[in-house]
Amino acid sequence: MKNPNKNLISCPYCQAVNIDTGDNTICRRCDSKILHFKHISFQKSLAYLLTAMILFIPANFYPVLITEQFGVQSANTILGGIVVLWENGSYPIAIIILLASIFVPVIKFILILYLLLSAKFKIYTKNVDKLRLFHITELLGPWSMIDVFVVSILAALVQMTSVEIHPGVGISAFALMVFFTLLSALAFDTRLIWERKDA
Amino acid sequence: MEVDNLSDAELNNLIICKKCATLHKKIKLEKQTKATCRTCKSTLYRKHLDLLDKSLALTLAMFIFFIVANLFPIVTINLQGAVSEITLSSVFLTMFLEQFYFTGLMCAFLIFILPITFMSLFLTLLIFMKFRIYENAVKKMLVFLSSLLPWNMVEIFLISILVAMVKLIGYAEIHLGVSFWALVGFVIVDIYISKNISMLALWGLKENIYEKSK
Repeated sequence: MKNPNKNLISCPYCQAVNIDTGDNTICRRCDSKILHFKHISFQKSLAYLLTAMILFIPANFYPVLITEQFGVQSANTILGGIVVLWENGSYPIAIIILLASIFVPVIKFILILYLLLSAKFKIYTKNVDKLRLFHITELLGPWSMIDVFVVSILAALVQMTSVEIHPGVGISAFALMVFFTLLSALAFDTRLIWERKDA
Repeated sequence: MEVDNLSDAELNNLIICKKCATLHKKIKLEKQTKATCRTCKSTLYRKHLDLLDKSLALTLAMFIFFIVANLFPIVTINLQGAVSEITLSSVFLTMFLEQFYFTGLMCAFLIFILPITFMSLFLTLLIFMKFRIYENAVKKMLVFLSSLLPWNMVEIFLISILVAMVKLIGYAEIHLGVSFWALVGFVIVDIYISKNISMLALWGLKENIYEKSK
């Protein structure tokens, strides 16, 4: 399975077409190194992905939002918050949060893991489809930040004498999780899709 | 086609689709048209009218929107007589006060530091190009600019404001401030720029400008 464009690659920084000379091609237009160290790209992407997957667990089990009303504290996890929204009748918002905070990270984990595994093992999918999947993960990624922003906004806004909202530990784990999935997608080298070594 | 000994000029005439990696030969375009990929139909490049002046105007507009967005409150709420408001900076400063340093840092980076860096960088390099000076600096700035792009999340912050407001409906009276609309303007210009002005076009512009002055 070779790169369909023979040895031509486009620079990720300026899209100039370059002749690929191996692990240290330097772009002829912008002088940046084009995706050197392919083997490290795989390890890096996998390491970031595993970190993100581990962080996803505390992000869901610890509260992300702590509401203090007249001295009475109640803590909400991400799923708890979605349930509250659903019960209050804000169905569209409940669905947006459910998609952004639960589905997007999980889909990203699965897609990147699949792409990484298919770079190592024989899994039959068209390379073009794999590339498309990678672009989907890139597009979806940032949307999980919604929850982090919402918690920061609410914590900054609701600071009254009667009601106070504080961020919970879960949000740190969640923010880190988003950060590492983004890094994982950035570290992923699309050349891994073309150049699987037949074992 | 033998690829190992293509000259730079020949390579310049080629383009690889970002989405599906199909190799294309560039063709000359009429004004205000675009070239699309033959397999996946995504845009490859456009023929711009006055790309430099257009980008300059848009970046300046973005700058003004961003300054206004920082000066006034984004949202004011009224909860049984108790009034509270947020500004762009108070969103991440609160996280620091609550000792959530990482989350605070991330928010500060995504909604404040990054947009400012992006705009100043873009503006400076456009001005340099306008006066045809400092070619090497422009080159480095363009590379840095493209590494900033994946972290652009202001539009997601805007959606988050709306989501947070929906959570408060029924508890408090909500007033959207001037800054909210400035932020909407900022996001619209931002989306327009990212949809229409590609890094590829900017590199082409840069090469055109400095070739002529040589």
